Amino acid sequence: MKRRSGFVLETVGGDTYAVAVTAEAAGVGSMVKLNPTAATLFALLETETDTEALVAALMEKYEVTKEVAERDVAAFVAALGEAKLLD
Amino acid sequence: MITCRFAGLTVAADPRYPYYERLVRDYRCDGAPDLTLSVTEAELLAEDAGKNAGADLGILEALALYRKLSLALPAYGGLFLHAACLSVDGCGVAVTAPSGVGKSTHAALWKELLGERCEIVNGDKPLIRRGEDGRFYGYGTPFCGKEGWQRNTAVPLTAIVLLERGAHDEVVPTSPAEAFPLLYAATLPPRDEAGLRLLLPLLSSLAASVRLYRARCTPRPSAAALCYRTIFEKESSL
Repeated sequence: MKRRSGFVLETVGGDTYAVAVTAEAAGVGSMVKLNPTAATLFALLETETDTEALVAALMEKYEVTKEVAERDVAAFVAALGEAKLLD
Repeated sequence: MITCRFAGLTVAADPRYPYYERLVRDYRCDGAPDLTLSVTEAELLAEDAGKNAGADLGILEALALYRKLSLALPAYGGLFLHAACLSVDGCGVAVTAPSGVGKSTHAALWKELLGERCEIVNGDKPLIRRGEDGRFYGYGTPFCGKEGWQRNTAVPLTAIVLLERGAHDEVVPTSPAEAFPLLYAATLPPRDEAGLRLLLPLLSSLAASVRLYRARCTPRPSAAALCYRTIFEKESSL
């Protein structure tokens, strides 16, 4: 899977904002606020990636269990889908 | 060719209409330009919308040139901010808010409160640019909203106030992360990814280098007094 393109990421304080290059790219406004986990996943999803790779990335970066990583990935992918940000 | 000094840059333009030359008369300079602006007929006509609909072609051309300058500025460490930029005892305070919230009213209240200690550098459309000393400065330009409040001067920015309307006056510090979307909404976003990659880091540097406040304010003098005290309480006991 892959997210829609046309975003530039900027980290400000502890938050990362995904700012849409054009209003159409976002569909949900001009920017999306991401927590660190979401920012990691959002960055990886710029190119075609599968669930296993996303889970592995979270397990490595945040030293969480597979169950926690799977749950976070599923929730984030679902949120992206709802926001119509998946290609 | 008309050459001006805007935000510390020498900016050349070759307008079709005489309005621009009159508008920029306080900003003329000599020397080789850092950048040269030009607008197409289509870009000029694109300004004929919203509150500028039906404006004189010279005005539309000047607005199109300012848009071009604003969009080019991130490459030079600068950006456009929809704000009233005040110089308060030499300290810059940019009050930003969407159109219609009452920036001008609020700026006028600061003037009323502080008299000559408060100068309006630009009432509506200042340029902000990082100086050689690393600080961000607010610049006057002749593009400044209907009140015509502007001075050809620059002031180091101390604070940015994110203004909203309120039933009571309330001014609270806020963080760069919280302020970021509001600051972004007050800039002129570039239409391409390369431009955005220049603007966003600049905007987060700006947010990190000034004090930020969210102000819910009435249009009464108490609002400016509270803002002033909250920002400058350590410096003064007014």
